[in-house]
Amino acid sequence: MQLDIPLSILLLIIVLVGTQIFVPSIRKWVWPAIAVIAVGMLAVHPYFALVWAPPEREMGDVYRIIYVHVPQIQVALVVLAINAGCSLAYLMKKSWVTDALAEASAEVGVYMGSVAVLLGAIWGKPTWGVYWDWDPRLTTAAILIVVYTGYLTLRRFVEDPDKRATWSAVMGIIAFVNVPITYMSVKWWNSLHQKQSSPKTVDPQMVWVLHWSQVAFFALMTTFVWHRYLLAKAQREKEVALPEALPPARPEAA
Amino acid sequence: MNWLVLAQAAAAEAPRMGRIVGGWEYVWACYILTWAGIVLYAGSLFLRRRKT
Repeated sequence: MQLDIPLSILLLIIVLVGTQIFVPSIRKWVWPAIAVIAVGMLAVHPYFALVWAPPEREMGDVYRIIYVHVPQIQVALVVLAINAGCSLAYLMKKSWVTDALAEASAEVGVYMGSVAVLLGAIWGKPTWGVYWDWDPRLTTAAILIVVYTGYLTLRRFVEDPDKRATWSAVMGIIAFVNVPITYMSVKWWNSLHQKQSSPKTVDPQMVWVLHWSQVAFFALMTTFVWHRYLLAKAQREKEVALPEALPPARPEAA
Repeated sequence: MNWLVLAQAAAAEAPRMGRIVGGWEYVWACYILTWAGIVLYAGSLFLRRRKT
């Protein structure tokens, strides 16, 4: 099997993330290394996407939106699957690690998903003639964003960390039902949105640039989730440590 | 036969039916939004981590 450069980089990122779980001592350089990969790949991304890739037969240059729209929605679906996995793991065994990771992945998923939906709407104007149409793919994607925004709102409103983690874990699992529906909507229903293309029917140069974009956004997502996870974990430690840090109540105050 | 050759050449040069011409403003809008999103989200993470 022959691997191209983007897929080799993806393999390297997966190996690095996997290894740091078992060898924590390498953690301090693994995450900066992945951030450097993300920044480096994204720095040259506009050249590959806007200059090097050939125009498309029917959409001309407008199709170049694919290199930012598709990777971001794919990464959003992956990161929301991580949220569901962490939610399930939390309900099976209560841990602040899985709770913090669930919070981080949901936020990054909402951010990237919202940007992807917005880019899709912009792409709709020159190709369909309208910015928005209530077709199955667009509708399910919009519901996805609204539901996960609700998930993040729930996390903000519940003050008790234990209740917040349990309730949001249940909601994370229920919300995930819409993720495969969004992905399969173009196959299940008659949609204005096109079906997923096969690399066999696309120019190899276009496929290469799409792979580059997918890996660049995957590296970016990994970096964002890691830093958001550290933030969520620090906040959780602060919340859990807070009652113990309070001075003991004075008898006369009681 | 000269008219036939000229007609064929003109047909080859004419834009194909249904082909989108131009549209770079939509492409730029999408790339600017993507980069703005990356910078804003990275900035928000940096500021929130400094606060914590």
